[in-house]
Amino acid sequence: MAVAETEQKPIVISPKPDHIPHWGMVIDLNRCIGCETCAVGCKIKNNLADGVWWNRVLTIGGDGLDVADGSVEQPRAYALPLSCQHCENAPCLKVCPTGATYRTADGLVLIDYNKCIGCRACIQACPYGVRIFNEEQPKHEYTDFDLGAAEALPHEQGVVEKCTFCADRLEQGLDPFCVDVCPARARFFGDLNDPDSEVSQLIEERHAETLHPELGTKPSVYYIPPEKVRTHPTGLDRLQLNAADVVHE
Amino acid sequence: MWAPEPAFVERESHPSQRFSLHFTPQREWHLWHALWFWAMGIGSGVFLLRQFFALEQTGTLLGMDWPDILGIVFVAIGGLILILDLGKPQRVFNALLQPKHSWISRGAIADFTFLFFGALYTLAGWFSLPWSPATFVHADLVSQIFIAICTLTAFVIMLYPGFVLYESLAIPFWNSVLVPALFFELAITSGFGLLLVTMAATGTLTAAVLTPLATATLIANVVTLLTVVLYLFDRYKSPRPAARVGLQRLLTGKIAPFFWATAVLGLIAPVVLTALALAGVATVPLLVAGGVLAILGSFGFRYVQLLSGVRQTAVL
Repeated sequence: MAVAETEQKPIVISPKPDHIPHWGMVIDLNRCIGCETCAVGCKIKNNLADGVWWNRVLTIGGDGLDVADGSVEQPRAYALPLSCQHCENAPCLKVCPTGATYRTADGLVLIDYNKCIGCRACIQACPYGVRIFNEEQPKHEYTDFDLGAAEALPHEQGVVEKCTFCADRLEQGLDPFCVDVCPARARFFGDLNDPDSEVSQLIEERHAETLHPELGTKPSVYYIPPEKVRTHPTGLDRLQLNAADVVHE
Repeated sequence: MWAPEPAFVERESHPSQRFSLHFTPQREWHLWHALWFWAMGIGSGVFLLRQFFALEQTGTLLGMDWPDILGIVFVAIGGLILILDLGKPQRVFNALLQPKHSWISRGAIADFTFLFFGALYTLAGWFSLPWSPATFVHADLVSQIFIAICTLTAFVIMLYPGFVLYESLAIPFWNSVLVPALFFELAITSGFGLLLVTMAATGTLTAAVLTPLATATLIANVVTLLTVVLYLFDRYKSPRPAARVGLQRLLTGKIAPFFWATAVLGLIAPVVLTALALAGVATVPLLVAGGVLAILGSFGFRYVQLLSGVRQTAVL
């Protein structure tokens, strides 16, 4: 879908006068069933081109999609939804030579496609691998009509894209689309600056963690690890998934 | 306790592989970036070395000194490659906007500044301009200002690609402080190589300058070789698994033949040849051969370093 450069304007979320929120997300990996609805919903809502995924659900376990590790009797795997972490200390923002990647007052890390020169330094800087470069003109071979919300950002060749936390929906007072479409209700969205918000309470009570905290990026996306035990503080890679130890509620 | 052990996938050949956890080589920066790094390094290096050694007789073309011409041409070629490799080349001047925190931005400013003042300085040899094309110690004030600006920017040009890699947090194989140092050293060794080849070709590699140049070249080559060894050891000791996967790919994986060829021919051979030249064995031909190999080695190492960049996974 070819779009003139002048059509896109950077989204600036206006904070409320009395309180500046810090938007964040909590994903409960105990609830996530790896159905990919969030990934597909994101793709449709944002009219993403073929091969472009702002939101993926990784299988942590075997070496393929929905492939478990372990044995037949005791398979081990969980699903990990992965999109932009909207880091407070975003490495992608630091390396951007044009200022195309910017951070809004309420914590969103966004890209101004009109400024991006396609140097891909942000892709190399993002430790979560969630940015994607439109090397070719974005194609939509499977539909001959535009999908997605009218407010969805247009896509163009030669720039880098990523999840926006559905900034256009936030402007309308709605949650990101992936939150609304999750059939397992594994995703929670809210204000991290508000200690009474659902996300803040989940982080506190369920010991939610961020990905790669050792890198100091301070992500705004938190994960409640599988099982009801606190995992290794440096990530989700020290999980005890012994079936015999699983606590069933 | 269960920690996932992602496999290394050379290429995500099946779309579903994008939805599982594994190490993959970075695919964004390859040959063109290696050429960009190399061209800018050798260009800024040769320009700087002529000034450092105050070489007045290096051969001329239309009254302009060869090292200056080559320096500007190589930096310009590097810049052109950089621009053409952008997704939006027409917006290249946007890259000048964030020098406070982006090394690409600092480098782009240094490139343009070097080219502008370098061209002004060099053109004085061709046209009758009110400043001198001599080296810093023999130049007038205007030329000295031009040379000072070019020297400062040449340092930035030699270093900044290294810092660009160093700040690529997704590629732990590059996240070593030794990477910018290596880029600087490779720029110097390739600059020495080009300087020696140029002077030999123009018949200006006289006995008076041969020994100091050869000695400095040997020191630069040895320091570079040691830094490469130190860098590889540093990456081996890195706590981040993707750094070690990258190292494995470099030393024993698909990249290994290129790496070992580069190490033997481009890093070790120049040391041996320059040492033999200094010992008095067929001096100039050996220096030239060592210089050519150092130039190739400078490119080769940057290329294999890019190819060995393995992306870390989301949770390991």
